[in-house]
Amino acid sequence: MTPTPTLPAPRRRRLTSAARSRLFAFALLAPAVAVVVLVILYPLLMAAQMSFYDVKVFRVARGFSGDPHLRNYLDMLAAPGFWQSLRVTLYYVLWGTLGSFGIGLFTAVLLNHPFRGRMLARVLVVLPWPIPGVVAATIFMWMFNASFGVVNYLLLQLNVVQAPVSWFTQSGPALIAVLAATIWKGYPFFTITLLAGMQSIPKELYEAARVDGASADQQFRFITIPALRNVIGISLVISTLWLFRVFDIIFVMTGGGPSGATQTLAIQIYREAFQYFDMSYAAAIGMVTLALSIAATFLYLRATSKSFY
Amino acid sequence: MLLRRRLTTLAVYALIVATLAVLLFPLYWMLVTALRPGNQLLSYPPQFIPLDATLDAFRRVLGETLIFRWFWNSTVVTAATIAIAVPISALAGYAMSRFRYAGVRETGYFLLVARMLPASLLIIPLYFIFARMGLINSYLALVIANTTFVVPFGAWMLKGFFDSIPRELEDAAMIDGASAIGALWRVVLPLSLPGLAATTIYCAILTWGEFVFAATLISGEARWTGPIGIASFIQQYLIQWSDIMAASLVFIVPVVIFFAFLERYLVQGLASGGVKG
Repeated sequence: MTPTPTLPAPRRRRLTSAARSRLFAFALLAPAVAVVVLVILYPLLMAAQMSFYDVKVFRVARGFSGDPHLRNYLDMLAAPGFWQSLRVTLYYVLWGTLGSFGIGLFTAVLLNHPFRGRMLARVLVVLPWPIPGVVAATIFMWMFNASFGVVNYLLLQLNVVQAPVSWFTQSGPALIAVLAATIWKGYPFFTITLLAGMQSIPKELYEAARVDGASADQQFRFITIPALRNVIGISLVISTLWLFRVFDIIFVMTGGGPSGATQTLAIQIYREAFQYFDMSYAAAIGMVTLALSIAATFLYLRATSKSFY
Repeated sequence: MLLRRRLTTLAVYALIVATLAVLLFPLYWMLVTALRPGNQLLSYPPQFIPLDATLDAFRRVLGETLIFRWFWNSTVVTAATIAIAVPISALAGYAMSRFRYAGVRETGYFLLVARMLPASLLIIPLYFIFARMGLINSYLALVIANTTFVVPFGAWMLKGFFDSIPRELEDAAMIDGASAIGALWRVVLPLSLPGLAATTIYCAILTWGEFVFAATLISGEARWTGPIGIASFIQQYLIQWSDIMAASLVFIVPVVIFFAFLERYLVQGLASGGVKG
């Protein structure tokens, strides 16, 4: 008998070790997937199902009963309250994004200059970031207090208004106050991401532009902004999705009032579920909110995904 | 030329100081209000320099409310969430950084997309799920919920840090007889301390200020976390602003100090995970 070369054996061992390594990779991912499935995916599917039934909080032990139907969605489309929340949400998301993006871009440009103490300045600029939303809400409530607030004092001193503004009893001013707190809490995220993006732009691009006689303004418009396109896109998406979710700031400051003027969809979902105990109706609104968030994400990513380099 | 550069520097500094003055004014105003004697608080016009500063509000808040209790509850929840969420993020981030199997990257995206869902949509079913598990009014429910919202982004941040560590180091350790887990534990993790710091502070910020889950899953004044306790001041008939500001100030001190020390790691982590990822 001639000894046959034992080729298949190492191969088989390689295969099993590859399989083991694959198993290892997915074992590493398993805990993360498990919590996300338990706390996000499963509840999401449950909410989706709920939106086609009539689940009231006191009857939840009985589970789903009756046939699935579209009544929650039809009721929602016929309810002026839903359309008002939708309008408020779009307004809130739009101005919240613009405001925090504007301040974030401004501060990022400022911090992109080399100067002594820049590290300290950066920590201070992004200091609102770790402040809990509830605390931001209480500070701004106090600053916008009608009788003794510092905002009214300054506006009166500067002759912007002739009489103190009652911020939280009128719809326009209430939304402004809520947006001020939101933007204050939201801009540091843009500062950090935009600054990181700016610092990864090759310096040679600016040198070449200077050689060609480009002004600082032109360099910003034709190098910085286009090079940041992807960073801007991703940070706009993350911030927009955050604004769709914001709960604590609005809930503490106004509870959605006066008469629904600051009630975003996130607030309405909570109130339908935990104040009116209509879980199914709340879930239906939730599914629409989800669809809106997804639509906004695609919109941003399509608008900004052209590559610069 | 030199003069012009000096002037530019001066202008940049002036702009920085002016910007900081505006952006940090709310925090300054919180401090000033907390130091005002209560009876003069509602005087007008507001005083921008606290000449008659007193610690009365702090004494009242610390002595007459359950604030210590709430902050202790917040500390327990935050510490437990860090202890669970950071290791889970590290394992997932490591898998995403080192293994290119079909499905690994997709799992990473799945985590990230799932995390973006509106929490107020999730709390309704979540409430039922935890009720069925007997976890209503249990901090375990809060810790699990918070962990879920930390892990997706934490994993991506840590992936960014792991990517910068050369694979050869683990290969060398494994040739020396270390197991895959041993190489991760003894070689990779010690080199990713900045990444772990970034994830820890990110987790601490999210959990310390978390409101929706704490408001719905926990009840009873003695079991509240800090944000719920602070919000409860607002619901009182007569709002004592200097007390609220004092309580808020005490509450943010730990997380702000923590943040100030670890901020650069978090910035690095956001840059690698959030922007490039």
